[in-house]
Amino acid sequence: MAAGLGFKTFAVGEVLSAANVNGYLMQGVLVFASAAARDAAITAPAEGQFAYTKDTNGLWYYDGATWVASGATGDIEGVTAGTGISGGGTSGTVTITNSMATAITTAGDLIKGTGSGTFDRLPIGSTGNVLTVAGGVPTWAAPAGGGGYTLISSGSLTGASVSITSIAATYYRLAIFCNDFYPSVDDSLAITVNSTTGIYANTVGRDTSAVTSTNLEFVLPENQNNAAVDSQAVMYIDNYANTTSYKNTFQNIFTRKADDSSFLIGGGSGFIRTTSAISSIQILYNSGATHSGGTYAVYGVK
Amino acid sequence: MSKPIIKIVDCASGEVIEREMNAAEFKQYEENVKSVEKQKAEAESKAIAKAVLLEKLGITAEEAVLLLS
Repeated sequence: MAAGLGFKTFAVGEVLSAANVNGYLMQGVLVFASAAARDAAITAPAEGQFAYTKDTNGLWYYDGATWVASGATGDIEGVTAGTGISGGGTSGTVTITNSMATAITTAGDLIKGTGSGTFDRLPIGSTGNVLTVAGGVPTWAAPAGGGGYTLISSGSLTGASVSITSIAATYYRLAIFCNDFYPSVDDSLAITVNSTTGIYANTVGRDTSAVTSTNLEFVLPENQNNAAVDSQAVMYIDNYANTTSYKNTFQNIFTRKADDSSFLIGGGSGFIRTTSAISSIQILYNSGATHSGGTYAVYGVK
Repeated sequence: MSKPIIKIVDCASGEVIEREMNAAEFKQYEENVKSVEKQKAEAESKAIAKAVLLEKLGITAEEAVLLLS
């Protein structure tokens, strides 16, 4: 492409020379419907040639190798960060950043509003927590009461006793479940609380004028066989955290011999003669047998 | 002679300890076993005495309840 000759106003009747055409007329901007139309019309563009594409309102120049979009294609003069965004600029490559995204530091974090147009990070809550509002602010908290069971402890039954300690006084009732348990020798499953013996009564109708049962026994018609299967027992202790009254209990138990020659079913109610809050439970066998198997789970009930 | 094993689960810390009973625990354990045996023997004696009495009276336990009601 010839070098441009500048600007010239032609007079009426003036004859255009080849140099005029190449030096003045061909230096302008050629208008096309699209880039495809441009490429079809100009198969051998010259360096420095300009084109305008109407479909995108794009202005292009040819750099000797390819058509390059001119920076003058739009009317944006700068990018300014607004609320919740940082960065911006008035030239070159402009980066803007979502400030809410950068406020998050840990998987599970949430963003909460702190006022009109402001926010901060709400760190992820603990397992089982629910989102609630306290003092007008969203916060994670343990689920409110309403009859739910919360697992306090679970595990295997081994040794002469399993002691579950440091039980929080935050529930109304304790529910103790034992499954698939059997003793080293024929015996009956029992519990004690706070490692204390001699304060239990556990049979309906029994004379409780002297409440001195050593352990709180899951009463059966006879001792559980040491090869029993399917053993299931549950005991509830109400009001366990109370420090002024005795504690009501009720329990059920079922066990059978593997050959179905014997089914033992037991149940009853009773109480624990202590005004102390119960903070630990021992699961053992009434006459000193050891656990040969089984599992337990202690739940707090609200 | 080894003493029985006990398992202690601390709900607050999650710590689980399995160990032999110490001397005090073992002594208490033996006393408890004796206490349970004694209570069972007493209950059995009472049941036997009750049965003997009913037999002497020539009535059943249910009839005795009716008489006393």
